[in-house]
Amino acid sequence: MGFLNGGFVARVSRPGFDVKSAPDYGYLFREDTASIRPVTSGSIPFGGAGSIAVALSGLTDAPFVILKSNDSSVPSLDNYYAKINATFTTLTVVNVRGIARTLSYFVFGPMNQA
Amino acid sequence: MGLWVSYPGYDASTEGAKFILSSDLDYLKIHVQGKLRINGTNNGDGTYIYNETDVPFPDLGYIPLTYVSFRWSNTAELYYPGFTSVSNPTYDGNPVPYAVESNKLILIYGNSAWSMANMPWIEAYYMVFKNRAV
Repeated sequence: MGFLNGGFVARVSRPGFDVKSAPDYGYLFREDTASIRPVTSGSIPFGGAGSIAVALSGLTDAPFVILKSNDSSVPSLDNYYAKINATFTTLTVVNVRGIARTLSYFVFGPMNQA
Repeated sequence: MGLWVSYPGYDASTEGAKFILSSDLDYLKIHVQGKLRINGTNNGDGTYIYNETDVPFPDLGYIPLTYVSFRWSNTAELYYPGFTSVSNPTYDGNPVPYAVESNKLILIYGNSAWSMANMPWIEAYYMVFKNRAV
């Protein structure tokens, strides 16, 4: 934290990087960079194929969503996926294949949202 | 030396603390975020072709982690992972191809001339993170 090149900075670098000269990916915190934080997450047990809607609030732009299945398969349109409506108020988790499993979702948004 | 900030009720100096910020870990950091509408060219038969389109951003010097998804109307949903939410059965579910360089996204990569009925535009939602992909 201090002055660098005439401006005030507040930075934390990752282990192994010099905080004064790290590349962009070498910081975990910079005064001029937004990070995203968890907005909500959850796990949904499915008995078979189906979809579950999850209500979201406070989002003014598209979030970043990561999905996970307890059968360790990866998401795809013919396996499982999620979709969010145009106003970012409803996330629908869809289990396409007719198998029982638990799907987890993790929604991330900028710090100024939610 | 490092920086650790724990949740209320946890001692930040202990291994088992629950941290809000830990310099031992990385975080997803946003480089640019936005959306871009790509207008199609009417083929004259009700279908449209979308051409390769660049989304420039300040050069990072490495290939960053990205997320891109497309939708084709103001009411269409965005999909995760980044599929396109087109309803045309011919293309439904096909991911719109895009490429990533250190200073730009290349949407409709390869000028792949997508042709979709009654969709005069598609809209890309994108996030480029400062985190390094490769």
